[in-house]
Amino acid sequence: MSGYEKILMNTKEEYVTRGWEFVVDFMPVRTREFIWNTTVNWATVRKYYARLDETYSPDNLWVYKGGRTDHLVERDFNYDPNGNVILLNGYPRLSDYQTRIGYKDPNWVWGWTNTFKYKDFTLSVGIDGRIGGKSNSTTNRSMWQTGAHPDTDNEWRYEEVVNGKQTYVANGVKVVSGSATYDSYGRILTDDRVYAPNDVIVSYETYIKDYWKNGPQLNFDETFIKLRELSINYDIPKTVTKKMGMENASVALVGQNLLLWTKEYRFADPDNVEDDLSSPSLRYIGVNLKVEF
Amino acid sequence: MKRNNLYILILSILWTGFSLNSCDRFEEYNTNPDESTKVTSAMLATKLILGVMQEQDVTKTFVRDDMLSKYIAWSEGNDIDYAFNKLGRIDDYREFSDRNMVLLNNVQDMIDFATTEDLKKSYTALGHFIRASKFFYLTMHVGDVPYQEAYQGDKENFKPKYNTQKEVFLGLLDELDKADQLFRDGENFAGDPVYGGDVSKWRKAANVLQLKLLINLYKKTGDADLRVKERFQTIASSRPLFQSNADNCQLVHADRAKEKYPFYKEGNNFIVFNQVSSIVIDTMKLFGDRRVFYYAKPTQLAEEKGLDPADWDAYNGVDPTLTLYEIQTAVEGKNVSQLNNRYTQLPEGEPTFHLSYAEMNFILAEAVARGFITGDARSYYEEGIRASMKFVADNTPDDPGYHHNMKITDEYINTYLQGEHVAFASTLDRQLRQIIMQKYFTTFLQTAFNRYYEYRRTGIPAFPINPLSNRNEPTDKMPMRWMYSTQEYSYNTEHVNEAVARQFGGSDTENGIIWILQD
Repeated sequence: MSGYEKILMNTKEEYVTRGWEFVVDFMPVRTREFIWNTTVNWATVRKYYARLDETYSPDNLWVYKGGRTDHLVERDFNYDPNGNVILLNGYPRLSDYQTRIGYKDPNWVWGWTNTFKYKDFTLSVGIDGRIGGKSNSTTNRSMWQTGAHPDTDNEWRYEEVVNGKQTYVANGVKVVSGSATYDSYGRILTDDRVYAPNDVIVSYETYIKDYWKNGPQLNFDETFIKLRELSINYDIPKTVTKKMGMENASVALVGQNLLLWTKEYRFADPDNVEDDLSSPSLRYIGVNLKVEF
Repeated sequence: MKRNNLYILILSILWTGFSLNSCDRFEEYNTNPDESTKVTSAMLATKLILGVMQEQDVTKTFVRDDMLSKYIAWSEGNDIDYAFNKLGRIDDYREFSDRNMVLLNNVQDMIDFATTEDLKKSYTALGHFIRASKFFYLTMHVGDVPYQEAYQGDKENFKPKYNTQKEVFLGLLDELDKADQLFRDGENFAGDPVYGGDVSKWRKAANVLQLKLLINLYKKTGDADLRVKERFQTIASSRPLFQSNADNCQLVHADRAKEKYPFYKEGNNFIVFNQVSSIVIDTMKLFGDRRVFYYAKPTQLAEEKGLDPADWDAYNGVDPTLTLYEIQTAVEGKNVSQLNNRYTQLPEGEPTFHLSYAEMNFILAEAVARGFITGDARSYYEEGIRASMKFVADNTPDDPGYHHNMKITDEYINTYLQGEHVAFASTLDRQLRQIIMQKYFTTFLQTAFNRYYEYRRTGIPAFPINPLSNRNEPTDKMPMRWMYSTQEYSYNTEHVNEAVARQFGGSDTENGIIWILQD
């Protein structure tokens, strides 16, 4: 209501970035014909609020001195004291208040490269990954909402589409009586609600479409391990190269982005910051020829 | 190697020389002769007027308030908040978000860029009208809002104080009084897609808008500051008002880009989901109201059975308060009518109005019935019905595909007015029901959210409340307002908390009763 959507200015907010990084590099084996070199690095970096601006910093529960700045904020569902989702007439009901459901930045990122050199051959393997951090996956959301997700292929959908019968009862509780009041941050002030297990049969399709509209379940843990690079390099012997008028030559078979294991993320690559119906990441396999004159 | 270096050096010097040369006519190349470099009041006026006339954007957003108002049911499944009474926060959806209000920043510039004194008056008046329209919707949505301290972002006031709803209304009524005077003294202006800049027509619109605000204040006639009855009398007796449908504050659509009817099929993925509600169709059948033939089309079942499209039985609505599954089942049964083809197949559709002559008549009829002004309530009431029916008939091509051979003619209107349910009753209670019900029929797919405001203040028509499908909590009640936006809580905490405390005892929910609804 000030008449402006945004202001671009310098506020008095200050951030502090803290972290750790370890790099260990050693050579476990070294002989005349065989060398094995390995490097491991492990790092964590986080940004915190060091100072807030009295006028311009937002007033909510996740922006405070010492808090992390990479908060992931969504409207969550309402839960009963045991952590069950509260449903209304069999359907999920998002809270009117936003909550911090996690953090975007990873807990740790790490990498491990190994180089094995045997005579003229060099094998290089690079693996890296991250642990922790959440991001939004639109691909998953869209797959659920359109029924393209393999997990929607179940008995409830079958019953509904083939036999015309609704059989789905969602996990959760319903409120039998009572109500709750909230403060402006969404914290409960009074609560006299009485719960019972949900028993309302609904259409599976409608439920899924509604459930996957918004909410914390749209965000997934980004933990992954990737085989980032694998290459085999052969140094062509000098005797051969000299005959061809070259100083040095080598040929290599290189692969990048070869394998990916994810803890929770499906149908998209968590290596990109966020998945907004992103294209699949690419796997490269190629040949490298290096010639020096 | 050295010689190569020399060549490279010479080449780069020459190249730089060339590039610098081509900078000579930069200004000429960089200026687009087709674009204006100065903003005029007319341009700002167009944007502001469209900002009010096109509150609801297009396609699904255009009809979202009609779901809430129970004109249509929606069978898509995904968008079931408004259709089932969950209002949420004011900025949950695009329309009426307080971001939409940012447009009003341009009002002062529009006034400042006016080139003559009289034009300045016209644009100032237009500014008042636009502000009144927008602020009216905003305060009717949530209650107290910042008004006096609003739009002071350039003075670095980012935490405006909330005014009480009464203060807002006082301010708006005052602005509309000023608009009346300034339009009277101003000259015709440019940049107006509604009236072509005709200030005499805008003057009428400003007064009709004030009537709308006043009828909403019907419970506050005892308030000495507002002087509701006095204002009503002044406007009704001495100020120019709409004389016919030609004075409607409306946008006429055309078959040109960006001017097409908002629910036209082009780019509209949502045509299949609309279903006309039984509240509309059943009541119209009961009244013998031919507008049903213009609002809806025969059900699929009726077409398959070969029923005459002029047959009342070919039209059937679905109860919009059934659960979504029941609505979808009814649709699969093919016995539900959808919107008439003129809304989806004609790029001109019908004009969309913000204020209409028909509605004005119903406001006056109600004012007479309640004793605010003197006059003949019946003749206002009948004139309102006549105007509404004529509006529908005049904006429909003479094609049985649209009117289904049940045309609205003058003789028909006269017969209709004598019908059992339509003939003006003798008791105040029944009269009010009739007036509001006829207003309901008039604003079908028109005047955003007005229908919800009217229901909220009068309870007419009595929307059924189905606890099994109602998403408001508690499920046996309709919601009464929207909640304040999270932006306000994050960045203007102190003032929004103050407003919530004084209005609702500290609890910001959809069930809070705002001042204007309190006795």
